[in-house]
Amino acid sequence: MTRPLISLGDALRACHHLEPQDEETADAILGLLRLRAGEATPAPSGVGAWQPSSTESVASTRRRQSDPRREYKAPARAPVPRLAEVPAPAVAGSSALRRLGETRAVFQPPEWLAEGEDLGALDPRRPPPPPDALFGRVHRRGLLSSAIGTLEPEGELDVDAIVDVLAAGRALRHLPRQLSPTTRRGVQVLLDRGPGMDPFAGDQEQVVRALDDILADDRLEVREFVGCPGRGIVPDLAEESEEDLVPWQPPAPGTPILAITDLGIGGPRLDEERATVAEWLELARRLRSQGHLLIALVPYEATRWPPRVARAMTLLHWSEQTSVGEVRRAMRDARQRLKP
Amino acid sequence: MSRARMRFTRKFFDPLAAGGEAIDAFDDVDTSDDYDDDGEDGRMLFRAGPRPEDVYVYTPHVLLALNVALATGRPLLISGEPGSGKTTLAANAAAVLGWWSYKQMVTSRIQAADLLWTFDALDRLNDANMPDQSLREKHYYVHPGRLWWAFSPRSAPHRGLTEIPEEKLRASDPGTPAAESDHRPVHDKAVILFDEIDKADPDVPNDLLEPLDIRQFTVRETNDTIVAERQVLLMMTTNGERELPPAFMRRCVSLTLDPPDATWFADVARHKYPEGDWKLHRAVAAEVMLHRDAARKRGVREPSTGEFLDALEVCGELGIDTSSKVWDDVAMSVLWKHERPPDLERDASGAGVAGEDEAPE
Repeated sequence: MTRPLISLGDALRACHHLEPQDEETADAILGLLRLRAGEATPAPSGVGAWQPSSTESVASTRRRQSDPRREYKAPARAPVPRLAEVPAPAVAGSSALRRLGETRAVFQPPEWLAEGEDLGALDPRRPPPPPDALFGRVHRRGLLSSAIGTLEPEGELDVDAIVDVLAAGRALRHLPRQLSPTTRRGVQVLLDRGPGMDPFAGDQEQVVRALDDILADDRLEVREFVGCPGRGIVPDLAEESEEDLVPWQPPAPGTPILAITDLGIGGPRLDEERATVAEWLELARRLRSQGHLLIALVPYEATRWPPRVARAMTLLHWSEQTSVGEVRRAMRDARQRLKP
Repeated sequence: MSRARMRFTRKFFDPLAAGGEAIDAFDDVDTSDDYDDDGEDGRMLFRAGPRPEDVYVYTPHVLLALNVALATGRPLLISGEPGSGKTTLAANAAAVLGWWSYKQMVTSRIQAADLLWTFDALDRLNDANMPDQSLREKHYYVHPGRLWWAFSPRSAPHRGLTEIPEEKLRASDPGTPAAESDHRPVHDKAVILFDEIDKADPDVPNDLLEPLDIRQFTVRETNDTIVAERQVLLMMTTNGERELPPAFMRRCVSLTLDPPDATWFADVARHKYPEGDWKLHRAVAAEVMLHRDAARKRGVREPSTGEFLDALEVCGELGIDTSSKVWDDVAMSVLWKHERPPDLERDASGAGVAGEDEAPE
């Protein structure tokens, strides 16, 4: 059994041995152990950052609760307020209908009401809070690592392959190994900044931030486009280009490409910047011929995808219900497309 | 934070007890061993060897972090931007402790198991196919990793065998004495440094948790269980380029080194080159800060301690200073190292000395 997380016991042990002589030093010890009050504490493994909302569907609640991997605990439900029944007025011949004005309601405010902030006390100059994360922290890492991972022959020895070679009487010139996922090749992220993606801009930023946490700085390249990358991408500030768009260059061979786009599904229908099916098909053809692996995260369900684009490219419905399994299936599909 | 005075008992890690010096920003070296007399800010210097890079200046916060890690038996995770002195700190701390020392540079290809052991299956296969070579026991193809050596220096040379193998079949200890000084190494304790742990795949730190926590592991190929025989201080450095798993972070003592400033650079130079020109140290330090600001705005790598020391060396060798005509060319190639020249924001006095102008006493 592994040692438990750092706790008050560690702090007590440290203070016992080191005998801090002032509050500042004692506070510094807590800071080193990440036990200071208000210190950002990552969620324990297995529990996502998701919290139920009033719009949570019953189906998704049940799905989460039945997943044995999730240590989700449903919040205590507040008692449903009941209206005390008022006896019918003792008036001969009067209607048995209750009069609202005569109703005495015993209203118990729900427990969660006390946890909310008083809107009147909020500073109107304060910026609005960021949108809720689409995925919980742990879930997000798993999803994105699966989406951008490449398979390298660095796993266990591939005994079947070894036996094949030796059984055929051939010399074993290298040791074949099983494929193992890795993120060290990094990723090139293409963000669609067209008007159709405006509602999803916050989610795009969250994906980029999450990838920044997973990958080393020099392994993450983020480029922006409008409509389709084939038209060009927004130049990087460091390039100091005078052009609005520069030709898009795919990354180094073997580096996956992750596009976050609506494929032209959203936005104004007569918008000139809207991408066409032909553009996306041409992009898919070009990438396939060059051996580049592309996966597109689309914020709309599969029923809305352009059918020909869906057949030519690997698309993934990007929503809070996206699972790691779906991502892995999409990646298998993407790799399959690259095979001659 | 790291400059604030800390008052505590240096029970486990004390550079003074190991032969170091208490220092202050501009006072003479004070060899007092009473903490209350340790200069203004409680900093200490330890020379692990004769070279400039063997010197490290400990701030009170760093001293506290090392003591907390040793008091709690938790790994110490040292974070900071590239060039902030993480690796130097780890190496110097090992010298202060006088423990046997191991270092593992982590790459993107490394797996957690590699830090424990590797098994040379190809070598074994080749031996199996050699007609005049008898196949040896599996143990002979096991190569103990750094963490195995740190845990169990008795079983590592024997690769886990209970019988002692011939000399030529024994594994060699990759560890080193902590210091080149006459400070005797302590063999019953070890320090192991995993440098740049954030370069590894995200699963690697999590896979290390169990052997680190329970202080034992099992070699898959031989089914031998290796149990830690000695106290091990695990130090890890991270550039913070990649987020480490929360479960891993919550089991480590976390020390973040402050980014350097002009005073820090000048101080480093003063202690590494005590006979040097303090005015030159401060002038070059100020130039480094200008270049760091420019790099930050450009979004490129900032010059750090290594570049600063290189610039001092060049100035010393060429007999120049920051007012020389060739200084811009020197700065471009030694400090900046990027294609387009920097946009330096100099004040009216030019790249002057930052902070105090008085010479140290």
